[in-house]
Amino acid sequence: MLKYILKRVGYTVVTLFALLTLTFFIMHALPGDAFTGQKAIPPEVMANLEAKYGLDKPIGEQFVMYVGNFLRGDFGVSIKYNRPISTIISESFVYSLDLGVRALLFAVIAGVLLGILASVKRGTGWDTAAMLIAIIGVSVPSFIVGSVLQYFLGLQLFQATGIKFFAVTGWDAFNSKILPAFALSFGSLATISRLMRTSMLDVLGQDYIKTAKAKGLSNRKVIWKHAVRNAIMPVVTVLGPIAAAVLTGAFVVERIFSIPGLGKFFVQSVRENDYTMIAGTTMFYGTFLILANFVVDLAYGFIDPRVKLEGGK
Amino acid sequence: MMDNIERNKFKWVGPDIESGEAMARKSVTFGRDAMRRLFKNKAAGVCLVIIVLLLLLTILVPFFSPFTMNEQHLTHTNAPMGFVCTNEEQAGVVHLFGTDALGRDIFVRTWEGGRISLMIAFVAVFINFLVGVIYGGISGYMGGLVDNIMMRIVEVINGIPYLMVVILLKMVVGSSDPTGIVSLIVAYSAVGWTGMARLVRGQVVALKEQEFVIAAKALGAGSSRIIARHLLPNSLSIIIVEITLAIPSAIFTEAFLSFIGMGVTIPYCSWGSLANDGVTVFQLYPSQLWIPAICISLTMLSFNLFGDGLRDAFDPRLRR
Repeated sequence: MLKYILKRVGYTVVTLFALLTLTFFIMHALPGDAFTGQKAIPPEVMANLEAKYGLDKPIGEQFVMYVGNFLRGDFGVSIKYNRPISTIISESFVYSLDLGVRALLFAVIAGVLLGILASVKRGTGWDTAAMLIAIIGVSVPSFIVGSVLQYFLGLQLFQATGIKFFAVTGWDAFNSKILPAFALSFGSLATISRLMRTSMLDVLGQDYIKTAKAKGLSNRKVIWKHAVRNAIMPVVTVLGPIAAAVLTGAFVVERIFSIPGLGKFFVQSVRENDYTMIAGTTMFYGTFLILANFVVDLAYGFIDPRVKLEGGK
Repeated sequence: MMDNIERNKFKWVGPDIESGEAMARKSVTFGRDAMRRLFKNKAAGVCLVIIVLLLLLTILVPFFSPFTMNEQHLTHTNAPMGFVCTNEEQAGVVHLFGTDALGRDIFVRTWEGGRISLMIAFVAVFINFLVGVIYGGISGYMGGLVDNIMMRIVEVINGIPYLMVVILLKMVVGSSDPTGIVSLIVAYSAVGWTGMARLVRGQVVALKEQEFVIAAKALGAGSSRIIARHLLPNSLSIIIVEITLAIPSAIFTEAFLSFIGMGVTIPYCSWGSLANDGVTVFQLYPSQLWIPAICISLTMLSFNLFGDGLRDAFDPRLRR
């Protein structure tokens, strides 16, 4: 177990370092610099500016500074807003996190249940319906799901009934949170339900399920106590990539539903060529997801008895 | 009963050794069998037809359309679907999908955009295929320390969320790429090959210990012959499935990046950028979003289902 944890820590550190190096050198490879603007800057002022931000130092020293800043949670300053990126993140990420967690929870719970339903009622209409949802979810990008929901459930339903079931913009009342969270979770829900179905079918064919049935256990007990517990393992392993999909998917969903989250800022900075903001946000997202992956891996180690046993030797 | 039949009505013909040994049916090759099973699968067949149709439309429509992609008809901007053109030269010609906010014909733009979307997807997936097969092949065949190091590198690349890398790379390459097309391909292929590399490596590792490879080695076959004649042909079916399933993911990435404004640059368009334009006006003219949205979804759906069908068709456990 300890070996497993150490290995995961090692991977996480190396991956983080690779991300840092990548962003640093990409920022350096970009043409122009942060002070290139409409006005010509006198060379003396330029030298002062460069000294202030440490741009006159050799590249190795700049990199060390960069890593140091990163470790202190300093992601640089946005050119466009002229504010520290970490401040912008701390103000807006709460919305993204709120949206992301809701979407993730919904995707996991609904996806697992749908997968169980499809596998238990294999070959019936339930199975077909669940797999139809799965294949649509995998094939329709979240920005399309979002727009469709916004148009039909937000706009048309409101016009037809006169009752505002769902708000289509913002992030305040509960009815403004349903559609974006659903749009964001749909793709992940589909992936999870597909995975859960395959894994459940695999488990249900195992001998110990037959044994459990032969002992006279009720169907419900066999499914929930014996099958689901084992079948859920593959779902845990994809939670990292799913979290990544949900967080990055939020870029477009936040744009469609005008949610003041970090994703919306990110898309705006792309449009306005705010390079430092793009790099800073990317680094933040990257770090967040690498750490999320680490947590998932650790959790997996605790859940999966095979990993535990390996370390016990 | 039997006694009534005369013996001379029967004749001893003797055994025919030749025909007894002959094959009753022609032997079915693996490829033929897979094709047969693929076409038995109705969903996969329909998807293949849809894919071919979409490809034909993207190739042919721009040639035969009466309008060009960037031609503006300012007298009827945001025209509805099926609007009859009122321009003097083209009076009577129908804008099948209507026009956009700048009066451009959406029908021709949809297929021009599709051309770019599909081209980006195909080229990117092809590069991923090349890099992945070579990288995975070397890693799996060499084994030992080389394999260990190469796979650790893949694991680190996989650890960084790929959209982040794509966005960062797009930023760098994009600044020297006026169309935005090349940078999309470069950015996507830079990280997209890891899945293929893992798959090929796994397959090669599993195959290289098999008896027929050992037999080939014993007969004096060199590494290149073993890889080219034994390992790759045996991995071909899963590689084809992986390629088919990688195309929708490439289309998605292109659409996603174009949608957030990092895709192809004006005057070029793609399905993603068309959807992006459509979102801004979609409460008033919803069809401008629906059309690219349906194209993207239909293409992804067809490739996904077709890939699933291929996987089932190639699966030797399902072979009968």
